[in-house]
Amino acid sequence: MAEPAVTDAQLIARVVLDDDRHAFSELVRRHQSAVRALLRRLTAGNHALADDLAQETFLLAYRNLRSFRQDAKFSTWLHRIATNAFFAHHRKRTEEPMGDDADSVAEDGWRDEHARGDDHARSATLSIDMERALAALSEAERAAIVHCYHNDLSHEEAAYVLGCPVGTVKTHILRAKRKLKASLAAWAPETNDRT
Amino acid sequence: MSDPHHDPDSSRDDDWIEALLREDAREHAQRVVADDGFTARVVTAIPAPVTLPPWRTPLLVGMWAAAGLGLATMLPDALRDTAQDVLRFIVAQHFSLRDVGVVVLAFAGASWAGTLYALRQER
Repeated sequence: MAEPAVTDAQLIARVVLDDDRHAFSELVRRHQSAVRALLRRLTAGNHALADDLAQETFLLAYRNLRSFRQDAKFSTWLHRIATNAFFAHHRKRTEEPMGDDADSVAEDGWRDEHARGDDHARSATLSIDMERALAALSEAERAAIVHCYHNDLSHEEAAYVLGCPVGTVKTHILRAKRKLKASLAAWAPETNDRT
Repeated sequence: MSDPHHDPDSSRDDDWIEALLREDAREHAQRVVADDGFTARVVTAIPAPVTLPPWRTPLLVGMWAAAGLGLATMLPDALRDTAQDVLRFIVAQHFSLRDVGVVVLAFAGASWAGTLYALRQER
């Protein structure tokens, strides 16, 4: 993909120095898809909650842009804020089940429609099963899996985003994979005998 | 390309879940979340910039000027009185050269200790 004419760093400088809101809206436009997709995964498909948290993420980013030291990529920094927003929300509302609202129903409808096409049947079914399996993980385990596999971050980058040691990320992934193996046992190759 | 998340110590039994996670990640990576007015909503939610009223600066300058003028008129007398009191107090004491030396050394020691402590905190 071609590099944008104006880099993220230049846009950030404009926001910080001149409070240029047009520059900030360009940053939001560039990164909204990745941030919202991440939060949709973390919230196990709750689109409304994911978008609320995404908005909160960008507003926090705007307020704290001066503290962004560019020692990480801007996208990684945003993902860190988004993950913290998700954890903070979960701490506040642990009693609310996630992914149980009208948007999830809409998503299921999309999945059903998506699943009708033969070409996409497998990936759509996998997506549904994976989302359910991920929803059964703890928040920390789910976040570790989403960052390391779906966002393709290294363990070190995931540790930065999650704000925990690398060893903890590895432990979360190990435990998550153990649980996913049990939840997704139906997807295991039939040639292997599993207990 | 080797997979950085694959644990080489885990058994081959894990390979299928690794493959499944990668397949699902690939599928998700291809999806783009349409903006659908999201950017506009975020920009609208940004609080308006704090603009100072135009009369604020002249007012502040005037207040500081008045305060400065007041201090400049009052301070010479107050400063002279205080200095005389302090001098009288010091002259009334009987300090030996040794006492002065001890105070200077104590002060230097405290300064060095403070500096070293601050440097240690920064590391």
